[in-house]
Amino acid sequence: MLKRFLAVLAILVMATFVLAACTGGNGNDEQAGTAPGDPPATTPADPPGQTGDISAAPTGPAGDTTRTDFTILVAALPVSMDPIQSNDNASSMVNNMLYSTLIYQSSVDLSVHPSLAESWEFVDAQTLNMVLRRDVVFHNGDPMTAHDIKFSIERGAVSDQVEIILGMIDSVTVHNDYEFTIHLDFPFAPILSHLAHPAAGILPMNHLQGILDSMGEEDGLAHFADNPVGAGPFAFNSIVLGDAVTLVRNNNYWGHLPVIETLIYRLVPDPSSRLMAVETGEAQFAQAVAPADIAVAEASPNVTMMRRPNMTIHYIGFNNNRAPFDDYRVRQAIHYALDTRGIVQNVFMGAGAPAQGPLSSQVWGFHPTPSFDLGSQGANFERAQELLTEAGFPDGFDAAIWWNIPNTQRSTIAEMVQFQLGQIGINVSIHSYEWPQILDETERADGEHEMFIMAWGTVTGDPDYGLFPLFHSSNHGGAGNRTFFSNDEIDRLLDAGRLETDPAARLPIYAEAMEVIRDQSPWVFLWEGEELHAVSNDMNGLILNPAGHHNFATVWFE
Amino acid sequence: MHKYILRRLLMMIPVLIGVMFIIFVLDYIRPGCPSRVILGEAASPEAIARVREELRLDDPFLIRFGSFVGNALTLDFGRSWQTNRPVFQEIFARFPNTMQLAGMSVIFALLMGVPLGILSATKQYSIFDIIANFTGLLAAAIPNFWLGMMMVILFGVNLRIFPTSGWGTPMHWVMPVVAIGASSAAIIMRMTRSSMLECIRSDYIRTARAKGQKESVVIFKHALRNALIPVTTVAGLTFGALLGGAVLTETIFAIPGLGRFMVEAISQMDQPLVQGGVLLIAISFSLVNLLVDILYAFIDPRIRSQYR
Repeated sequence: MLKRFLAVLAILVMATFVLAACTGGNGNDEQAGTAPGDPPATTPADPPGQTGDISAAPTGPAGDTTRTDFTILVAALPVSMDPIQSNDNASSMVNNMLYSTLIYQSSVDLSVHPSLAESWEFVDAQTLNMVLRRDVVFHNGDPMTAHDIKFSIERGAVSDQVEIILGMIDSVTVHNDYEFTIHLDFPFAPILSHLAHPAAGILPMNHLQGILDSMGEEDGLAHFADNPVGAGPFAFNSIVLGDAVTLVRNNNYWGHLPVIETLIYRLVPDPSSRLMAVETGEAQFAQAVAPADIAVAEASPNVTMMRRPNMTIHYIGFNNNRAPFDDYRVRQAIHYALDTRGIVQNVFMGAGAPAQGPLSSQVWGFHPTPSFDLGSQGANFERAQELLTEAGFPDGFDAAIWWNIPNTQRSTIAEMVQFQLGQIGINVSIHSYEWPQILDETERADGEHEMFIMAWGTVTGDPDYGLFPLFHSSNHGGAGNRTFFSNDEIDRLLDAGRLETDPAARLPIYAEAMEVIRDQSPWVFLWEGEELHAVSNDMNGLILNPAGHHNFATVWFE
Repeated sequence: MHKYILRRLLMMIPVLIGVMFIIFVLDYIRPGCPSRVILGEAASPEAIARVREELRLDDPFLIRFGSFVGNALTLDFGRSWQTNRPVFQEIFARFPNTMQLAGMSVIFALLMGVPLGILSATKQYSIFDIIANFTGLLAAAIPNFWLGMMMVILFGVNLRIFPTSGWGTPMHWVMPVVAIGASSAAIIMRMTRSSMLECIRSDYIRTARAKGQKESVVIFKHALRNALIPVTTVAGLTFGALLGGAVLTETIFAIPGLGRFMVEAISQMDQPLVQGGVLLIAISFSLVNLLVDILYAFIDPRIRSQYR
């Protein structure tokens, strides 16, 4: 009797949990047909003539909208709301709304357009003349002049945190309140895309100087970062540490006024929790849906998935300083032997796509250089074996692959690489390190790394940012080139890309560089990441930015 | 009693110095360079060197440890290397939330565990006892975070009774408190039950009954008071452990607490934050233990007489 009772009880309890688990994923399957990659059907493309306008936007009649507050659930809050004190994606996302930049980079095709700078002219690849708009005021009421530009840009130029974005700037010469010249340390044609990055946001000189004078350097900088003042479409309202940042509409915005009045970035670290909060209407935007949850989101009647390939490329790097990886035939052999399509499908569960080269397809000037012709098999063991034999390793060799804890996706990649390379006699051992340690170990010229899994995001959208730090021989080690790859042809091409200010003339330079990189194979190109966000069905007007710098000022609800 | 408390407080000093030494040594010998983590995958050697200099990472061990202890004595843990905010500000923005979550969870566990434990001890082998034991075993075996997830799906998404995540209003508190408290409630229930059973069978209870005391007085005054000692220990230890943060539960419910924050600080090598946070947790854990020991004295006069 007792046994039977207990059995029934146990079944009941389990059934409750199973029910709870199932009902979460059960929903309206009709929505699942939304074509992946499509923004919601109602999203207007950048209207003609407004493509370049950061304010290009709320096309919905303001009177019809029901919602004026917009809650965005993010995986991380900004490290700093001072544009130059940090260079993380979470900070860029918020700073992009707080500050205006000289240049606006269209989310549609990453072309550059006037923003605070009305017009510009390259004197040469090292000198840039610009004219500032006259109608810009900061959130605190100060009018913006060329002096603010000089102040903001020059402090960015000496900031260690954003060195990679603004470090090439030498100085700014102010001619009058609205005309100035930017001087660079060396010829650097991609400067416009760098000036469009949120790290180049313009802030009020007198305001910050006043804070620094009264509070001292250290306290003043910390104070400003938690009470930021810019000239963007939204102004800072409040921050609750570890919880949320709230912005309010800047009613004196120099561009089109956003429809949204309150913009809340709330931290919800768990991706499933973010998605559920959008399903219940507690929020309208869930950043970075987990690949495993895509089907759940697409089946939910209240939620639309917004997807777009992003700027991140995951790769397996080879230490070119270390035998046998100093032989390009060995690197190519591994390229041939790996079924990257299979790896991507297994590890990322349908999110993103196999990388088509060292750069994401979203980067300006992208030229597809996929892995060698691998046929439908995904890998070509015969060719791999031939190359290994040519290189003097007919029976393979021992090698190590490194990944960083706790990135379990990379652990799975390492296991699949181990299995696949085993087929051509390469015995791969897997080593895991913490992130700080893997950074440290892979930057030494005599480092013991052989193969390692990492990723790189080309956040400026310009091929220079995605290639120069990683493949130019002047950047060996911690500066970005952790494979210690050296190639005169690549150095020449990457230098030329920086010198050439005519966009049309830069395109073939980078196309050639990408082909040389593919043939030399310092990397195996693995995976192109994807922006995967779940939004509430009534949200309109957002065009995802592949660098993650989404312009929420254009959003409206109906 | 006062002397005892004072002595215990003084004993905390060597404990805390030991804790500081261990945190510091662990941070010191840990491979990897914090300036590298701050600046990311691609930063010039010059920038790395400047940041190392700024953070004084190249100073000798004893100088760094000395300045850490010196600053800690004045409660100055410096600034977070990541956010540049004072460590004190970062930690005390989150510690109250963690305290609140831990406190409410332990209270919930006591409110559930003690009465159920008494009931199942006094009605041993009844159907109630069996159900309570079975449920208790189940609750103790289910991981907190999984229970939390299931609750979010059922009560948050499907029934829409509680908000799925966040912290601030009482409606936000219910699910995390239950998710964390359930297993502690089960442990406390089982502890109360076994310790009550032991007391009920002892001679002084027989004596109390023999002299004609009402059953309720026998149970609540004579038996329970003795049975509460181990329960207090468990509740105290649970509370202390929760002060370090319930990392997974905090993550699922997006609670701005100390646990997840500390884990992030460790992975970011944010040494001032880690050192300040661990020290604070160590202090609170020691204080909670002391509080539990003082509570013993109030529950059991025999123990009080030993506190000299």
